[in-house]
Amino acid sequence: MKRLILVSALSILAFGVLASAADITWMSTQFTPIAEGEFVRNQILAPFAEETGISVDLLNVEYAEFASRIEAEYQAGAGEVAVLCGLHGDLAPFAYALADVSDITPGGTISPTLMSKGRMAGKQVYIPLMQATYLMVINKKALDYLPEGADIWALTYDDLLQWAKNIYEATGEQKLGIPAGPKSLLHRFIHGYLYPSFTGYQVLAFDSAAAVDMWNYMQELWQYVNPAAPTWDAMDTPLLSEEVWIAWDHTARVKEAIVQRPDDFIAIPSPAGPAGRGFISVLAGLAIPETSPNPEAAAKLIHYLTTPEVQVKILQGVGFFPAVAEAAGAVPAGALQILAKGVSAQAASPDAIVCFIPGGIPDEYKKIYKDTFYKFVIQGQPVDPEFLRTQATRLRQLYIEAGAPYPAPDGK
Amino acid sequence: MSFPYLLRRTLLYMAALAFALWVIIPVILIGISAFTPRQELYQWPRSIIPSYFSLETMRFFLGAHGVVRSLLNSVEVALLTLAFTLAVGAPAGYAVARFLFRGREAFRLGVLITRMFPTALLAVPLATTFIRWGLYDTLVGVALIHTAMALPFAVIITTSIFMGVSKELEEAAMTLGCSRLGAFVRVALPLALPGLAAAAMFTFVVSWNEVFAAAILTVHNRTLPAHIITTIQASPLDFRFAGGFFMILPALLFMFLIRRYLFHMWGGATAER
Repeated sequence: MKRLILVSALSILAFGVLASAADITWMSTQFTPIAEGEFVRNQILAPFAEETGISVDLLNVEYAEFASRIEAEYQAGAGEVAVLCGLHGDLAPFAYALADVSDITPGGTISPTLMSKGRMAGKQVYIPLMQATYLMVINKKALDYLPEGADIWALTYDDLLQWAKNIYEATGEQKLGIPAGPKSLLHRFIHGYLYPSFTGYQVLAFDSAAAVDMWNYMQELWQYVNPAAPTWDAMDTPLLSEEVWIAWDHTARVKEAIVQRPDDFIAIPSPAGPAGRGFISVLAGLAIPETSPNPEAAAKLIHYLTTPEVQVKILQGVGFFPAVAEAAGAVPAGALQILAKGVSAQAASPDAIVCFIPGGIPDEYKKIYKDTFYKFVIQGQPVDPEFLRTQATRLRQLYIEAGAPYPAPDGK
Repeated sequence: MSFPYLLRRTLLYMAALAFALWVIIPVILIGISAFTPRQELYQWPRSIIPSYFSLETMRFFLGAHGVVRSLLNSVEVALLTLAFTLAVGAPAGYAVARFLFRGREAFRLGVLITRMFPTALLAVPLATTFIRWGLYDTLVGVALIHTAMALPFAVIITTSIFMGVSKELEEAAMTLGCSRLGAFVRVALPLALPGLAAAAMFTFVVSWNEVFAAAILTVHNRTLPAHIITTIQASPLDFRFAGGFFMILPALLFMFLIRRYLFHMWGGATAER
């Protein structure tokens, strides 16, 4: 018995030592769901390895790890990570630790507007890779209960309330879904959709009278939201199980539902409030740390990932929309076209208020939005302007302490 | 057999059963779900027992990039941690239990200091140091950190165990020709085995479940929790069940292996009654 344990322990040790390392490491806060990671490894990185002989190890991490690792490698003056992929807000705080990538030629045309988002601290910090947004996905069964006069392509928050109420009264079920689980993107819904739609701002009108109205509205709407919402991190599963018929979430987190049953779902723009149709434009980019062990291979990977063919593949596999102009028109038919139709309808809406994700401030801002939501909406406590004022002060303080600009639409 | 005795027994067994169910039901549900066909997981309402069992999810999970390797890494890190912790923790516990030395109380308290700092706070300096020392991205490095985390508890557990081992027994062994070390190895250690098993179990679980240090200190050589934690939470139900199943399984196996040592301590006494 003892010998057996010894032998197996030794073989495990040997295995650990023998396992080979890849040529370069690509650390990313994106592509984290297992299916997305597998897709990127098999469909995108494998052909790249064949083409160039460079094998890439995709390292999926959470933001806390992403941030700590960049900082640690920068401080140590040496690192393992060759390339980074993150949202604008993930990369922006580390401009000092990232190399200037302005001399890398992307594989396709990236518009100057998009490119300029990655320019800060006097250098090109990242090259835009892909874009995404959050929108509504509805089961066609819900259409029978659409309130009279409502247009699904130009829905308002009042329409949404009436719609969910109609369904509840007819079926006895709460068929509206908002992801409010611990890993959900609920904070995005609050700061990038509710707030701008009701108040016109993400930050500056946090404690305004319009915000009080908004929280009162949410309390009313919450009666028709499925009570399992605080357990949901992504809405694809509840949409597929038909626990909900109307859902809001990130494109990548509803894509699976549309892919599995494209005939049953439609993607539509998020609703508009009194101030307009607030929605978030998400931008992810590629960067090279100063400590990259192999900047040449990293540059090759960036070029490859921004070629139109790969951009279309990313859209197909992951549901992120291209950053490269040549790929934008080449959206394939089927599920992705359904999603793309919703995305472009939202982007093109005349009352659009485009929002960016805050960057350069600690993650505490998410907690401020979520805590307020839990207090007023999930716990249903009466909307207290004094509490809103305290939260608003703290929120502004975060920006002031970090010296970070307010994100659009606030910081025009 | 009096009636109150029977009643007491029944109540005791029912309480034990309820407690066992409370622990085992989630494990069983995860186990069943991990072998449920994908489509049935999404059906609503869902039956607990699937119409048939399927290996589809398991196969995808195990075939997914790096899962098998990180599983082996986890086992290796846990075993290394176990070896380091017992090698340092057991003698430390013995020393605190047996010898009076200046600063003994301070040491007993001081040993807890490593638990005072949240790992997240230490992450950057730790990783920076590991890079400089060449321990970055090595399993030994991760095991060292896990040892630091498990050590305070190992010392505290082993201290109380060695305190329970009578000093006279060791002295008797020494009068019969054992050296100091021989008395420790032949007399104190075997008697302390159940406590050491408990310490080992605790150490193994600490290492097995630890995510943050394992994640930040490794790039390619990731442990299973570090490898799947980011992935699993944003993945569909079926992968979560498969991942959950694999997180539970080895820890359960380890506990079954080490269980009989614990029974020396508890089981023997109750069986006599």
